[in-house]
Order: sequence, then structure tokens, then C-alpha cells
Amino acid sequence: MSNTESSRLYETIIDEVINDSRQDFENSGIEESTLQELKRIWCEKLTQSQVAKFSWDNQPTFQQNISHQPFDNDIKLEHPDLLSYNTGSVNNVIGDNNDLDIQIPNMTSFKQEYDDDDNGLMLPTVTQTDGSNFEITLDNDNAKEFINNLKKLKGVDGVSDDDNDLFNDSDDINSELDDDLESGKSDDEENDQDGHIMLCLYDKVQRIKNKWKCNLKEGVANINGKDYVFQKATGESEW
Amino acid sequence: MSNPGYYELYRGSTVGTTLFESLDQLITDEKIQPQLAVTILSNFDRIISDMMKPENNLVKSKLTFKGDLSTYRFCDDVWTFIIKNVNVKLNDVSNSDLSDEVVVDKLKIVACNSRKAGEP
Repeated sequence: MSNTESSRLYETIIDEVINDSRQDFENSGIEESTLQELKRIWCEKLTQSQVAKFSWDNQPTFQQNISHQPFDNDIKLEHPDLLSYNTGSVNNVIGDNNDLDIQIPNMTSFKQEYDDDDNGLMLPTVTQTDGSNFEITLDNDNAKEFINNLKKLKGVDGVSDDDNDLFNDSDDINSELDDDLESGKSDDEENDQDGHIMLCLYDKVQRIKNKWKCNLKEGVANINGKDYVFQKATGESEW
Repeated sequence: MSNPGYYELYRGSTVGTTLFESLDQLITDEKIQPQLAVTILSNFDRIISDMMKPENNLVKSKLTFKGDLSTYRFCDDVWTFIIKNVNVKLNDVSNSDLSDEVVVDKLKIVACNSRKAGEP
């Protein structure tokens, strides 16, 4: 695999970012050890990603030591402790889940009631305030007009309810759009699953009829789980 | 305090996402403040953009690809292509003997305008 450049680039970037951030860490009153911890975690995560081989990967002694440790841990006292801790934490987690399970129905039931109350209360209050506003100006002039206005207002409310219904109906029509959205999402998901992605800059993108040519540069590509970097890229594709 | 002249594009690369996850872990452990993480990420934007430039001689490889263009999109000065049945060839200029050729069923390309990248 010819992705030695990417590992060298990544290593340089890590060193530069860490060195460059030292002042920022100091300004925030964070100790140097935390900066080194950031570097260590970053390197670990890059190793786990397996996108390239890094210089720090050539130290398998750590892993060997770790693999030897379980042999030393044959002392029976430690395991029960660990196990009890583990089961304890698992129980706690389950307990939390149970709590959550209980809470969620409660919350939803509350929400439903709340929503119902909201829907039931909100509209009357709106019409009441509207009515009271109109009462001051119109009630004395013409009671019939006021009543008609009130009826109109109620009618408006009714229309708005109809609007809601129309909107609900139109949801069925919109479902085509939803399908489009869903298909778009699934496309993105497919992309994520495939994971072949290229991030770069473009100099020029040309199209002649259905033939596309692009000149790209300074890019990083992840293909088949490996990272590649390039200075220049040219691509041809037919639409 | 952010660097308006540098793209955040490369945060999507492996070296970027792993930095993000590492910072996230330190924030979760309450070892650093989110504000510091934002600063570090903008440092990263600047450094990776500069490192990719030809004058640094770190990145010299050339890449070519050929395939069926499935989707093209140009929005906010960003090109997005989804190319299917792509043949990708990479020539490592630093090791002239090495060249890689892979066929991928689907490749997504996200490209920002090169003229804005940190240039005055």
C-alpha cells in the first residue's frame, strides 16, 4: 500500500497541532500532562482506525505487556472484586434503565395530557382574548355585528382547524417529498456505510455534454479503510 | 479567534475525526473546557491546510480516477460528486515504484474552492 505519505503527514500534523496548542493550553491554565494525554489518545485512536501504519505502532511491547498481565491476575481475590464491581455496575445500569423505563411512560403520559390540555386550552384562550379586545370597541355600537364578528372569528378558528385538517391531508401528498427525503437519507447512509470519501480542494470543474472533468488538489481520501493523501488529482466521469 | 481563511473541511478526515473524539473525551472527563477544544480544532484547520500545500513537500502523490458520475451538486461554493464504479489510481511520487489501483463501487467527493484556501 502506498499510503506512507498519509501516515507521515498525520504524524507531522499531530506534532504541529500539539506544539501549536501548548500556548493555548497554558492560557487556559491546563497542565502539560493533559496536552500529552490529548496526543496519546489521538495516536491511540488513529492506530485503532487502521487507516495507515504509524511510527508509534512499531512498539508492540505495550500490547505484549498488557496481554501478559491477565496471567499475573490469576490471583482469585482480584477477579471476584472486579466481577462484583462489574455486576454491580451492570445492575446499576439495569436499575437506571428500569427507572428510565418507568419514567418514559410517565413523561409521555404527562406530555399527552399536557398536549391535550394545551390544545384544549390554547384555542379558547385565543378566541377569548380576541373577543375581549373586540368587546371594548364594538360591543356598544352594534351587538349583532359583534356577534357576527364573533361568529366570523369562530369561523376563522374553524377555518384554521380546517387548515390543520388540510395540512394533515396534504401530509399524504407531502409523503412523496418525505419519500424523497428518506431516499436521500438512505443514500447518505449508504455513503457512510461504504465510507469511500474524498475531501479536497478544486481548481477547475468542467463539463462537456455529459462528460465531467475535474482538477482537484490537496486532498485526503479514505478508500477501503485506508487513508490516501494527494497533491493533485484529475478525474473523468460520465453522467 | 477562529481562522476565517481556513476550511473546516479536513475535520472530516480520519486525523480530524480522531482529534475531535480525543478532545470530546477530555471534555467529558472535565479535563478541558469546550472553548479550548474549539481553539485546538481551528489550530488543526490551519495546520493541515498548510501541510497539504506543495511547498511543504509532505504531500506529493498524484491521483486519477475514472467512473460513472451519479450525482453532482454545487452549493455554497462546494462541489459534491458521487461517482460509481470508480477506478482510482494513486501514484506515490516519493516512491516512484509504488502505485496503487483500486476499484470502488461508490466514491463521494467533497471539494472546496482552492482560491479561498488561506490565500489573501
